[in-house]
Amino acid sequence: MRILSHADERSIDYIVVSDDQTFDQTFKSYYHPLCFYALKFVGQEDAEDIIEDVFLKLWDKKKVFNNPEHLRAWLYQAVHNACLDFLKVSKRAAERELNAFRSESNVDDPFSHRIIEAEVFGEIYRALNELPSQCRKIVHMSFIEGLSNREISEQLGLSEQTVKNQKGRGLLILRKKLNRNTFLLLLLLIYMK
Amino acid sequence: MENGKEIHIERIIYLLSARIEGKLSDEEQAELERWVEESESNRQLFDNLANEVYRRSVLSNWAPPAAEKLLSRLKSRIETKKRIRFGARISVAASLLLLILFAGYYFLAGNKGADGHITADAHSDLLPASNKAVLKTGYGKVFVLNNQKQGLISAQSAAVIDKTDSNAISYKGEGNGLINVHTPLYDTLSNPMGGNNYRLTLADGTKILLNTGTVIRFPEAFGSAGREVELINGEIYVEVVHNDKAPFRVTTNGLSITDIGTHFDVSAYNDDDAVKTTLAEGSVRVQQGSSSFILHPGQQAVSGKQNDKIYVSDADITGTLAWTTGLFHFDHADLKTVMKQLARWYNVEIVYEGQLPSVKITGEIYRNLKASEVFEGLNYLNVRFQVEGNKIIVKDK
Repeated sequence: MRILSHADERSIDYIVVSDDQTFDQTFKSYYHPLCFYALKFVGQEDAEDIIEDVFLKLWDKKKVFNNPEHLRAWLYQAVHNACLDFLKVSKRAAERELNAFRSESNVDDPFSHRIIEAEVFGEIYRALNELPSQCRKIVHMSFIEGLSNREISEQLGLSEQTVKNQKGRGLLILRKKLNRNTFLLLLLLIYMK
Repeated sequence: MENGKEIHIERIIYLLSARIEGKLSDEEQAELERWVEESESNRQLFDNLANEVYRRSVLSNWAPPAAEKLLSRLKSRIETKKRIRFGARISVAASLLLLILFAGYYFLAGNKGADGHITADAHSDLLPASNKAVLKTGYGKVFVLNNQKQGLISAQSAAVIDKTDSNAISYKGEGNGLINVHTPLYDTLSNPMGGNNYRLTLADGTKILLNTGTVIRFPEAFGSAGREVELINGEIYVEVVHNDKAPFRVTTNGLSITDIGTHFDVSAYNDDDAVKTTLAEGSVRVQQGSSSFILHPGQQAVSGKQNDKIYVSDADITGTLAWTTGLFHFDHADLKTVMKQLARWYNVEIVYEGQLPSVKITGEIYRNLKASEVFEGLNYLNVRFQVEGNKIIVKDK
């Protein structure tokens, strides 16, 4: 069963994360975006632990999700709650005095904006990682690491023309996969260097 | 029928993209600027998405191998768990967390499908609570705190009053705030319905968080007789700086709560039937007439306003304190309970039309959302919410 929410995959009736393949794919798709979100509240190591626990829960509960968005919302909500619980427990008395009402001062914080941000990056990340391997490597070096065609061709021992072709191919696939605006953002990422 | 925020965000991404491409018209430029100015969070999102270095730095940190490594660690944990459980089948608790979706979710998936209809009237909406607290000092001076600049507000009496944050004021007295005053001046802090949580630090360092629709009266400095604060209406969360010689006390509706080193929550809204005292940490004595109890952490005392009876039970701490972290929290709540909270937060009246469906609502949702976004979260209910002026009309779909 596919999990990503691309246009051609809307025919799913429901999702149960009960087999290895679905579970693994969900984890790989959401690990980084969720981590990005959790880092707003906690440090890197704690974020990793929190996300692990959330996925354990996901596995244990065999919960039924109506659609990919439902699953996604559940994941963010679970990570959010786990982070808040973690903050409550971890604060020692002294810290408590200093940071009294710290969680409260987050009231105005843009949780939903942060999720949107995580998911904009998440969509790009997922789409990139679904590219065929050489194509992905080249797209990554070019768009994320900011290397020129020449630099890539030297590093990979390919002709510049091959690099160009693979990049074009990658973009074509990405255009199909990404929602128009996310794609536009990716293009900006590409051409603004 | 479209979710306003959803269109909004997509529009913003478009504007952002156009801006970076240099294709933005003057009108669009103005539109974008208006949106950015609207809130701090908008500015943050704008800055982040517009910043190409930032975008690249985020994505370059997202390495697939890191995810794979953690996945295999997780898998081995699952394997271990399976082995332990074998033979001792644990029935998974049937506590299904009903999930309330965030607004803005669907824009990415572009999901505006058949089930994307929204029940709220798109034309009238209610903004979440904002800072509205008003301080009235014993001298009779009234400060609308949102109009005050950060910093010193008043230093007229025994205590110095500072505005320490957009939603916080602080009293500072001499020493530990326990000066010898014979007739202390009493100040009143009102956080009206529709007012965002407000923080107050008393002269002795005790911190009080005021929920929306809360009024408290407190001395500017504390005399040696003790420290007493009156909760006139609403709900507070108190973190007491303990002092053996001067017990801290909250009184409300003939009830008194005396701290023995403590963090606790008192809810005493005038339109509720009972006063609820919930203890998060430490210990308090709850007293009303001839009844008296000592609460232990995690317990809640419910005292009726009509009699002296006090009932003590285990509390849902997370639920009770959800408001202090900016959340509405419902656990099998009926519609009326939910609407009562919304009424306070959005400062509106609730009107029920037709038969009220008997539903139980469980879940959490952020308080800093527009009413329409909260309604969207409740979309799974067979209920229609409509905003008209300062009323929310609730009826069958």
